[in-house]
Amino acid sequence: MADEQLTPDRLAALQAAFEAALDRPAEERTAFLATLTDPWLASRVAGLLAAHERTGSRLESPIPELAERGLLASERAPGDRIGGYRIVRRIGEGGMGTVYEAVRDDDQYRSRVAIKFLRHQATSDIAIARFRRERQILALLTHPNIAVLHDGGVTPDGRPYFVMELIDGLPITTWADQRQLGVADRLRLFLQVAKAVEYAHQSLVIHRDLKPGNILVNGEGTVKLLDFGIAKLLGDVDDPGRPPDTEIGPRAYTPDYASPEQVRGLPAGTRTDVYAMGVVLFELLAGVRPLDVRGKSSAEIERVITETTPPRPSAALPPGREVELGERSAARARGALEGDLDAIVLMALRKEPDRRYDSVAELARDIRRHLDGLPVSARPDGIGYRFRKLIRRRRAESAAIALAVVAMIGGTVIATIRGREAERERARATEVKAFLATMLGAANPASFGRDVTVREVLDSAVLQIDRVQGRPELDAEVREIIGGTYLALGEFDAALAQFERSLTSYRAQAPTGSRHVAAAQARVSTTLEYLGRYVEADSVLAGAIAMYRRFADRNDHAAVDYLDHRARILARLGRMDEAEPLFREVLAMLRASNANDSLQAYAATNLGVIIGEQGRRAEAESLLVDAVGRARRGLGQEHPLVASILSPLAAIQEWLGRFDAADSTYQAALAIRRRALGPEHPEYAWTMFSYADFLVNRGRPAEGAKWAREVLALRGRSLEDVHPAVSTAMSILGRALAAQDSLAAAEPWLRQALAIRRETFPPGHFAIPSSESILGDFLTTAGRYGEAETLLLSGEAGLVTARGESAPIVADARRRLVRLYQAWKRPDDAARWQAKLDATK
Amino acid sequence: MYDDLHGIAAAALRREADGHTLQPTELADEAFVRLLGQSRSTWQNRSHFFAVAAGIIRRILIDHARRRSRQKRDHGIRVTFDESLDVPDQKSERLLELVALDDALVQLEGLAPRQARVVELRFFGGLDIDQTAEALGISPATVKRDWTFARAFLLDALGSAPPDVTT
Repeated sequence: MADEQLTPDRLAALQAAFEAALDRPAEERTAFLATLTDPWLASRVAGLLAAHERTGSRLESPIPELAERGLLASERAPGDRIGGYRIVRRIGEGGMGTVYEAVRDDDQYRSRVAIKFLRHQATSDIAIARFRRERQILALLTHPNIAVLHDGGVTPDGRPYFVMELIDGLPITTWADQRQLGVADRLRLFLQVAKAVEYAHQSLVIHRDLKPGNILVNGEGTVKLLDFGIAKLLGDVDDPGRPPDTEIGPRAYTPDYASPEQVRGLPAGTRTDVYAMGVVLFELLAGVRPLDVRGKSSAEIERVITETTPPRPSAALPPGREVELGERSAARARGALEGDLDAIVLMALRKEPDRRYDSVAELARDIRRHLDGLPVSARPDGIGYRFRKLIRRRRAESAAIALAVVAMIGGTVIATIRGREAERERARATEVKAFLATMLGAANPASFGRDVTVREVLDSAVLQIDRVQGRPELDAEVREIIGGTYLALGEFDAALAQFERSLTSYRAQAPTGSRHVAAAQARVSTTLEYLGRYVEADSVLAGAIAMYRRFADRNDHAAVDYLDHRARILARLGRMDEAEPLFREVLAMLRASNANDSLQAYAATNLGVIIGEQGRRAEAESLLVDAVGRARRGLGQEHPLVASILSPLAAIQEWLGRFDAADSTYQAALAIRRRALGPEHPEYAWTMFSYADFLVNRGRPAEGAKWAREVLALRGRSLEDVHPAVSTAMSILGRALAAQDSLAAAEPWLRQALAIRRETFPPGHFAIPSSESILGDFLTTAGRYGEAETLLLSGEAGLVTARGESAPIVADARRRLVRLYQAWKRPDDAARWQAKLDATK
Repeated sequence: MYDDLHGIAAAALRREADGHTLQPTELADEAFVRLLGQSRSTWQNRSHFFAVAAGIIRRILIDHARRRSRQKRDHGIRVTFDESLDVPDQKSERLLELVALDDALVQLEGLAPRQARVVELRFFGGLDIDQTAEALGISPATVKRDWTFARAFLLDALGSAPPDVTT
């Protein structure tokens, strides 16, 4: 590297000459170098040009090239002699080392060979001896589809090398793609690979590193396998201390093609090669690899390879693959792979070696049978398999659990909302439910009882499915059901986790999207909504709706769900005017399609709530009364949906001044929710704080405070601070305490409510100015008029901006201003606000 | 500013292709502290800041690599099978390689400071052609030429060790 002749001037001249050479076409550069009078300069420029060739024409970081060079402790140059061979040129870099073309020195025919130097040093005499012995065994492998191993040895500096037949070919995948080979031709090509591997296995040699780069096809279409058994030799060289017969080698494999047992460091066997052949066949057909491990850490790679279920090849075809497969359309390409070939590839790719093909011969036989139009032995990794496996473990409990679980699922709100869709897919759902029920059998049935143990049962089901390798569609559906059950129990984080995994599984089946993906997104959105994360919920759902429009037919019932869902999110975001038309559309669609009572009840409730929020109370009440009747008819008196309607109906009755009716409606809603959902459910909390608010407004602050405190007891348990119930309950509690003259105790609650709302609600949300106004009202009571005025004015202005002049909540804010100025003895201001209040009534 | 630095650190580590055991945040923290310690350093613009940071990151990485490669040597020579393989064994090789690159870059600095600076900014700082040009106050075309030349020069320097096989 050190070059005494280099000076800044000479380096400048070197750069100038190098650039002048680069400016010329490649074929003129040698001539240009000859014109340089300074031989030092000419030789240095030649060296730089050669280096430049290695960097390619890209202007990216040189790290890959540098790393490659750095990994090579010694570079071979043309003319170097190794054994009886002379290096001619460097061919390229392989995974394990550098390959050179060479000729035999004493060979009058000068036959060409390839020499591969391993990037690797043999560290002891024992290791070298074993390497030589193994190499001789490999040299005995003679098969037309296996590159001949001529020779091998170890250089004086301890670097193993092989002398092999020089193959002028391309990787099997590239070769087939370039020729746009059809599926059948690809399979026939692959059968050559199988023959070679089968032969080697009979000779007790395992390849261990099968990949397209080691499976070349020459100009005549003959397959040649390279590097047989070399991975194992590397292991011997690497660890001379280990007993000669153990199969546990070092991790000398390529992650893309490595089997689960290899990444776990377990013994490799013939079925390891079956797995790698499965990956190669997948790639040969689909044009992509079954699992993506690029750029992942070794821990991630291990997890992906041992846990992630590969997609079906037919489901993994990238856009345009039909061209390379010589098919006229994507659908035809998919059709060519669906069924047998999917099953064959996935059988080879199973995680457990003993569930793959017993041998390469069996894999080859299935491929031949497929080519001949005969039935194949490969079967999808079915429910039956899992069912039997689990039944063996939990035979006794499963039947009882199955009944309980199906009943439980049948009772969820989600299942109700999904009504028709679920009906249409009942056949499949039954299968999935059976599986879920069986998995749930792992839980102890003796403790199966109320909510808490249902949660335990679900948690154990999650553990089960996390462990079981299923079909993605099965995984997706099972997680969907578990998530739905969590959701119905108010376990929103757990529900979200399952729905997100379910979404991932649906996406794995349809990378470009599908109506299932859209539906899974919608479920994630629902859960986010329940968690109070409305902005996220809205954006996830916007994506779902866009995707749904692409994939679903117009009459699909789920379209109603999504419209409704989005309207609800908008409502929760306080954007009532945007929500109302959506809700009207939903109700109209349901009525037009003669939907069942519970669905109509549900839609009418939402519309009624929105209308009531906007001050049109009579219209709201009639919608809700109609809704509660339908819900009771359709679902029964005690159904949670009945309570969901009673709760807002009570609020509307309160607004209408029908206080006795409101009180009993609230109590009925509370009773149903507590019984049906349990005392910690956020929906129950919602009714509790509504009732607390009612009680405080009715002059019963002590009772109101009790209910508000019950809500706050759930804080940090089933309610996070982002849930509106928390800040609302604080605000109600503050007002209740103030009404009982506990001013010092009240103020912190009101301030905390405002602080939480400022933090958790989007800017401009009406809940923030509402909280300001309520705090201002308290300060009026406390006699701190100046502070009160600031907050009340800011609150009123904010509410007008958020909700418009005519919203009831604005009238409340103005009423508080009137009260302030009366207390403050500023009658003119009081009169001004009273006039404003009257004008908007 | 801290985010910028974090970006540089992440870019530098990406270029080092997993051959480093520091985490980006950790590296940025360390660089950040050193940066604050430079009492007289001021930067007029973002690119100047990047330019300062790139040099610091280079020093941290090289210090780290030298330290690590010494440790590795103490444990004997490790082997590498495949550069696409993310196993700890290959990192020692990368670390040695990084040290060699730095040595070559030091040589280049003595001969052609501007070209060496281009490498430092692009390689260790993760700057693109235009950012490098802005930082050094030269034209993008010059950066491109210097980069092409310097890469060839460094590769040539790294690969010019004489063949050691004589059999």
